[in-house]
Amino acid sequence: MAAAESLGMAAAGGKTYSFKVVLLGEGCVGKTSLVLRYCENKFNDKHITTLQASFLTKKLNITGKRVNLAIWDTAGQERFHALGPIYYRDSNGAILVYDVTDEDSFQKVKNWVKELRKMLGNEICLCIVGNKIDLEKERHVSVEEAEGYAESVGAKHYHTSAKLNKGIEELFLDLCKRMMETAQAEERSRGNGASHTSTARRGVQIVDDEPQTAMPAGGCCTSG
Amino acid sequence: MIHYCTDAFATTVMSRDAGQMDARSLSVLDRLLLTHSIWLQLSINPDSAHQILQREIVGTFLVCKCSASHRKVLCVRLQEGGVSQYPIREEDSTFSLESSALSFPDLCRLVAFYTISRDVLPFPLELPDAIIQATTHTQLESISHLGLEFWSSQTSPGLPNGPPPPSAPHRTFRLISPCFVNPLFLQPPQPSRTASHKRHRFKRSLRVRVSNETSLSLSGGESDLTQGETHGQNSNQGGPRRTGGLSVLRRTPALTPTSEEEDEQMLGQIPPSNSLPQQGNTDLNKDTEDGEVCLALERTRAPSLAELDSNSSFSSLEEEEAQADLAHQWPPAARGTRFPSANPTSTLRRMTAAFVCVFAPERRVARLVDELSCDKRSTFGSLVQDFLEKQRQEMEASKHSSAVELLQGMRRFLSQAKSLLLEAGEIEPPIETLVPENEKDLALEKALFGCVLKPLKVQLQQALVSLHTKDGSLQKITDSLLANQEGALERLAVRVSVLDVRGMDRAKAKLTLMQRSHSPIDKVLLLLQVCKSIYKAMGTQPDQDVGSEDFLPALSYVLIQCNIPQLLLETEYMMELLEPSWLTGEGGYYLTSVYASLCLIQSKPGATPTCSLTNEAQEYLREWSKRRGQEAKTQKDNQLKQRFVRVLFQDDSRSGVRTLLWKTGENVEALSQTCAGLFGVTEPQHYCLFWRSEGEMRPLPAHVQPHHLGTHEGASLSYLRSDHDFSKMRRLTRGGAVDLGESVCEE
Repeated sequence: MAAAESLGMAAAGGKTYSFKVVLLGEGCVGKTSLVLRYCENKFNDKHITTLQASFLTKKLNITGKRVNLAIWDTAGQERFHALGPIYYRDSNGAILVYDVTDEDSFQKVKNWVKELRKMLGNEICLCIVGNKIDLEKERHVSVEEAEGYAESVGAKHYHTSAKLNKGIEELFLDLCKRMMETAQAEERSRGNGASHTSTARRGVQIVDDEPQTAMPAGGCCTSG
Repeated sequence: MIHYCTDAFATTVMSRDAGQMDARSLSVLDRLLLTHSIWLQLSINPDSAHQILQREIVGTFLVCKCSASHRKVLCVRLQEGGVSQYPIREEDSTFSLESSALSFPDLCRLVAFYTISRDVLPFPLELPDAIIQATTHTQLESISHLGLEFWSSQTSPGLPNGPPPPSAPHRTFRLISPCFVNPLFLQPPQPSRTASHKRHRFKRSLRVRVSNETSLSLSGGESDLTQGETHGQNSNQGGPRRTGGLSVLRRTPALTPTSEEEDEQMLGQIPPSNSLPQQGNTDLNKDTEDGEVCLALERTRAPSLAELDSNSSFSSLEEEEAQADLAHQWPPAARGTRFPSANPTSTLRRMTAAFVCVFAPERRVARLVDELSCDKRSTFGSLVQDFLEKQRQEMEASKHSSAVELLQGMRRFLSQAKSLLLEAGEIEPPIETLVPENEKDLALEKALFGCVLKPLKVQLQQALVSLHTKDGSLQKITDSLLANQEGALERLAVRVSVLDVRGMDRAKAKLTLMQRSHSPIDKVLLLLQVCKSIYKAMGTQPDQDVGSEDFLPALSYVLIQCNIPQLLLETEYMMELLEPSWLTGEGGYYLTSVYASLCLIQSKPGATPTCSLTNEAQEYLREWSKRRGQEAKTQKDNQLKQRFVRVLFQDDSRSGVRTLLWKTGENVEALSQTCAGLFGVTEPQHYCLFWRSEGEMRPLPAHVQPHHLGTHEGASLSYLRSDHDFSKMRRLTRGGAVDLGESVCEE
């Protein structure tokens, strides 16, 4: 509790992970549809259909741990490219979307990967997503090429169809798990200082809890 | 006989002079407030509470915290020698027992209610004798200084370790005056998806309450009088009491059902339950609160865009009105007796003031924190006042080289002050009793903005303008906005509808209003309202997905039309002063979008896209990211290096509590010396510091350092005579508090 608080977390119950995921990709590859599909139960109500389409959240429970996802859409047109860093800073994960029927959009993804690795290093979990597999016949980016490339840059590759709602749950679930692993690894490696704190914390629990367990049997009552 | 309060939570406080008042003038709520350190034990878990309660009489209770679920639990001693656990639900700014339909605005009121009415409990809660029989605040205060130690003592030495004899399970008389505690709302058990519905109800009932508060408790007073007197006889059955209590509640205006219309509206917004395809993934459980699934991040407790409307409240802009409201709200007669005039700054007054304030719970916190910040005798108060003083001087002397540096210093201080509030336990009653866990951080942030940023507002504004004038950025944005006035729609390639003239005026008004608030949170809320209106104006077809692609140009267009260069300063103010983790939320997203828009507006028209973000902006961002990471690290290091500790002091005649800053490197000896000075001990060689270790109070070993105390909020030390007799202390203060020479109220 106290630990979670000092880390600035809302610890209403156990540990809650909060991750920021940025959505990158060219204008027409279907980024927005993808994420709308994922968070779709919010958008059944026609009154708020167009609201919040560029910022969405999702709550998950993965192996007993609560995860809050904040999904940031970015403007994908080339003219907005330079604004990218404003959006992707502090991201835990990035979903780089291309259109399997559009070779050019895959090249754009490659550019983003280069830039993200340069600016954010290896801490950010990358997902490369070939969207629109419902248009398989018109595919212009080969599966081998895409998966080979993803592997070479330490990213994971997924195939999705926002239209058919294919592959989307897996994509986000997988990404969450990877971000959790990264976060846990970071916690562990946060230097000796952190491990000190945790032992100290454990120590305090003993200090506070044992007295009571000891008391009823102990002499407090008789001595009083 | 039994005294009745004239308003729901009023505590009849006469005087603190010992002996001049009898027990009846202290209400249950008073007693609970003053002795929270006894019954509120958030550092222990239900198992430990169980051990403690086994030695107590039936009905005795503790509120502790389950270390596994991190939830508060009400533990109650049962008749068969067992202890029952009632998890406390904290949501929508209210507290309630999980099995009950009654909600309360804070924990003290919840407990106070259950000392009178059993509702879902087998019988009402019982306060320990020492607390019930205390007749003065001084007595209660000295009892409260015992904290957890209180329970180590035994009032009735004849009953060690066993269940109480049959004659003793309930008290046969009751000295204290009951107080009426009205739950915020009562509802029949409903399916769990009604969370948002309930919140809505709460908002409404709060509104109603404000106007009816003072008359509430009068209804049903007669029946409760009887119940109070016959408590001993009928509490075993419990039934009649409960019914009586509830019927009173049903009559209270606070429980007026919400109007059909609004209910409909709310229900309409709750999407059909889980429509997600099941993947057969056992480890992926959707949050049960489907209706809430997509609301803003928990950590980002600004309302989500969909929830926002023009009626959102802006505490920083409404304060003056609120003050006026408060004055009107209470009839003069009630006001006259509320605060003891003898000791205007007493803890009790502070607490009582917080409790009569029926505004949103976070405002009660804000009030408490604000008062504490003005009290230079408190650690927090002196820290804040010193900081304000220093900032004023520095701003006057134009010591800051950049606006960012100035704001960074502020944010660092805010974070530091926040951890002080969390660690030092100077807020009375503890914040844990006032707001649910998940609202605590937001409440504290808002409170801190109020006592740090508000007093500096004018000067800070001037300093920021001056710094941005000096570095030319204000001129640059002014020029860019002007240059873009012509043909902005085309240049930005806006493909959607934009705000009409009226909408634009409204947006401009909101952005202007933003500059009047000192609170970064309120500024963000205003910004979100503007963004919402832009989305609305887009007027796209339901099946059309509108992403950032369309929003960003539309936003940029609106910003150009509004033509407010100061927005640059406002954006920076919010980005630097908001708690960093909040910047990942919705507010952060739209704030980022505004920042991106301002960059877009300032980029050279026709320049190649990849260069459109100025080098300075890129540099600024890189630096910003790095710095925020660094700050988080420094803050963590600080927590290892220093601790705020509460030191309890007690000797034969006096007791007290003070908060000290204990830095790593400072040895126990030095800390003891500080304590001697603080508590005015003339023979420090006979005193030493104790801590609780392995179940016993032991002298603090000389090698102990702050981090050994851990990160508990309640971690405290005791400064006592080296030969302190702990059993004696217990006798004196728990069982014997009333034997200290003050008259007990005889029945």
